Amino acid sequence: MSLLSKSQADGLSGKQPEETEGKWRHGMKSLLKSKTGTLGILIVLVVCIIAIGAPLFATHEPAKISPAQRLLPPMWLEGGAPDHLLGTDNLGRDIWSRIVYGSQVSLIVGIGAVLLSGAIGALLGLLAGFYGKWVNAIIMRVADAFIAIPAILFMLVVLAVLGPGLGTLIFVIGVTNWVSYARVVRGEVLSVKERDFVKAARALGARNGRIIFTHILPNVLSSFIIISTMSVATTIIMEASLSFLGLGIKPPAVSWGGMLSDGRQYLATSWWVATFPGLAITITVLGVIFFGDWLRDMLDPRMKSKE
Amino acid sequence: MKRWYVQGFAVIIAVMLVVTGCGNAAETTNETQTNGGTASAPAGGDKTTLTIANATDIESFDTHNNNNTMSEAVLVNVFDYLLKNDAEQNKVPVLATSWEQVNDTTWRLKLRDDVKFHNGDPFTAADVKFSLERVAKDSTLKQNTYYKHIKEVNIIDDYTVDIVTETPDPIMLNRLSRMGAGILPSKYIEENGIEAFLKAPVGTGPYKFSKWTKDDRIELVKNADYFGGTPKWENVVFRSIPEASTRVSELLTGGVDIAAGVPSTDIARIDGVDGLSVEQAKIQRVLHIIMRMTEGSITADPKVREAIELAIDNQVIIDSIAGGAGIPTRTSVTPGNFGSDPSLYDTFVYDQERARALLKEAGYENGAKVSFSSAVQYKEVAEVVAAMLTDVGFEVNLEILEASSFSEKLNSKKFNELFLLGVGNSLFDASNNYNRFKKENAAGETDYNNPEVEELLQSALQNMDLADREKQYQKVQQQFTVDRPTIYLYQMKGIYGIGAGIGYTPRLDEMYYAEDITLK
Repeated sequence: MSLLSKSQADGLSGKQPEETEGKWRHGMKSLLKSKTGTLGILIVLVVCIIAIGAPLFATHEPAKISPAQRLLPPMWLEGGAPDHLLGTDNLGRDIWSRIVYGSQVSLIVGIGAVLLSGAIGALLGLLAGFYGKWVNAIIMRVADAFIAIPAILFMLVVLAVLGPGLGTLIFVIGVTNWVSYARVVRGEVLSVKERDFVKAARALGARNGRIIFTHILPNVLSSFIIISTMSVATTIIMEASLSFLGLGIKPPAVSWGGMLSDGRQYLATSWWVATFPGLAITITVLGVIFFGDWLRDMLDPRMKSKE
Repeated sequence: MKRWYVQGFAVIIAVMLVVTGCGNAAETTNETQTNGGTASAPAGGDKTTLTIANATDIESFDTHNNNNTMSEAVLVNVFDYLLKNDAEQNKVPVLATSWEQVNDTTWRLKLRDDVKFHNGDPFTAADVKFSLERVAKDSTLKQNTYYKHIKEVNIIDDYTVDIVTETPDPIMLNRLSRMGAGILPSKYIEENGIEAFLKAPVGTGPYKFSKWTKDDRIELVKNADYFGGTPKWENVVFRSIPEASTRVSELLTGGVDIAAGVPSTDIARIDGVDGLSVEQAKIQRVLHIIMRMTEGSITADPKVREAIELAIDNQVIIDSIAGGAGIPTRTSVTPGNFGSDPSLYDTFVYDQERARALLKEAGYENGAKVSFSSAVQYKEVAEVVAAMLTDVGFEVNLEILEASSFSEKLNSKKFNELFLLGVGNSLFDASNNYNRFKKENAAGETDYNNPEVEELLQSALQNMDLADREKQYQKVQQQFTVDRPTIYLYQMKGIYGIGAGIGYTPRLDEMYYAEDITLK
């Protein structure tokens, strides 16, 4: 190993420094060129900023109940109170502040669950693809079995047993969603491991661990990042669905899905209670999808959509 | 190309959301205007079908094996009692024509001789014996507990019976005029079995069973041979529509004539339509917060229980969540029930400062942790109560449960410190309010045990001196405001939306006697 200089090793692992830099420049250019990409990253940035700086943006305590002020319309409508931007919900809580704090839950669960399922999926995918034979057989059959279980049913059962909460939610969504990562990563590994630089590394006596993590992993990373980003969007929706069903975040913590569920029975009389959290979910998910779309175009030219 | 699709799609979704969101307010008014015209149309014509929408379906057609008011409200149209409550809770004859107490343990009833079951069988004393002995002897029936002291029913002649009890029963007439005392056809059931009966139920009531689509609707048709004269309606349909806003929408579009359980926020929606009206009526349901007094639990400390009562502003809950449809109370024996104590009705105690001080005295200045469970039905009330408790220094772990998991925990007595429960009373007697708190039943749930109260309750059950009996229950109620195994939030009111041309006065017992519902 010591015979190889660092740049040679990098070269062998399929990465070239100037290419990376070129990619960045190319990326920035394509980002500005792509309107949806720009919009997407803007939305994602705004949501992140709001989530991190929630106490700055919220005008009220999100869980503060004031029954006397229930169901006030947004401030620009007749009857709205000037200090309640988007109105109040069925218990007199400020909807804007709740949406602001709800973004934290959406992002934490969205990203947390994706990291967890990504880690499980990537690891199992790498092992299955690299070792093949019985390792592959076992892992992929387990993956098939997981697909056969309806995810929502599985999550309902687990949440009913463990009880709702942020941690369990991340755990449950994470554990149910690893299969797609494992499949994609395994597929990539199968092709990458036949390439020359892997063969060379093996010929030079590199151990399996080193081959997997320093030669194969960086080359499957781009597809991995692409599906991760896309999964954040579906995970946010999944969290909202579970909270809507009353199995997600426990009050007094705020979740957009829970807000939707609270507002459902007031749709006919107080539309704003359900509409604004619904919009928040839609916009955030769209933003993440746009961003993911652009990321895919940039990282993986093969999958690029035709313009 | 593809990107443009995505972009376009996004724009469409955004526009759709905004339009549906903002449009709703406008749409509602439009909707109500157009419906005002159509809904009032059938009023003058030959409307023959009455449709009533409830939140839940009946449990079954076995009147002896039901334990919810909504089931009874439907079944009173198919099955008759020997006597029933009129709208003012006076006992009026139905299948019995007169009754007298022969001695402390025997009631003698004369029966009508002109009654036929829907299948043509004549109604006789044998049916009374069969029905009452069935509910009294079969301990698997949900109503058994109210009738198990009935020793036997003796047939004197075809139209006279003696009901004999093991112990003196001061409230036999109350028992005979409620859900467990429906009269079933003895011959039909003995020949066909109870299963067949439940599939094709037969009673003596003004309406006959026609069809039951579970969780959707029950269809009844009129019984032309009804002993009380030809019934008013050709068909009576009971629909179960769980979603409150859907029930209201159905009322607005004329799909139902009466909608029960209208949310207070929807009252304006209904009132705005020509011809439709909203009726509110007190019902027999009182919201309880029941507390665990088991040694070792934080609510075993009387100061903590007092702090809980003082922390809650009942009126605020009534005015906001219930939309005014409630009366604060410190007893569950509300007026109209035997034994009620008016001094505890339409009143409540609220003093945040004192509540904080009590918690401090009890040694919980750093937060008193309590868990508080509620069924999803009362979620909003529970959330407001939890906030009020938090305000005075409690740390509340609020647990909102689906109806089924709530009742499972309730039946297995698994709640921790506090739980919220709406309790009705179809017996119209205070004894029913305290079943839960008798030592035997309280064990494992509240673990309430006050020997003095226990003795009062046991003695009142058999006390034939009604004036003294009333005093006993009033004493119990006063003691409950000190002991606080439970506190009360308010007596609920039922809110009904009533369609154009329909005359309906809601009842305290929530029954729908179709014969009392008229076409204006």
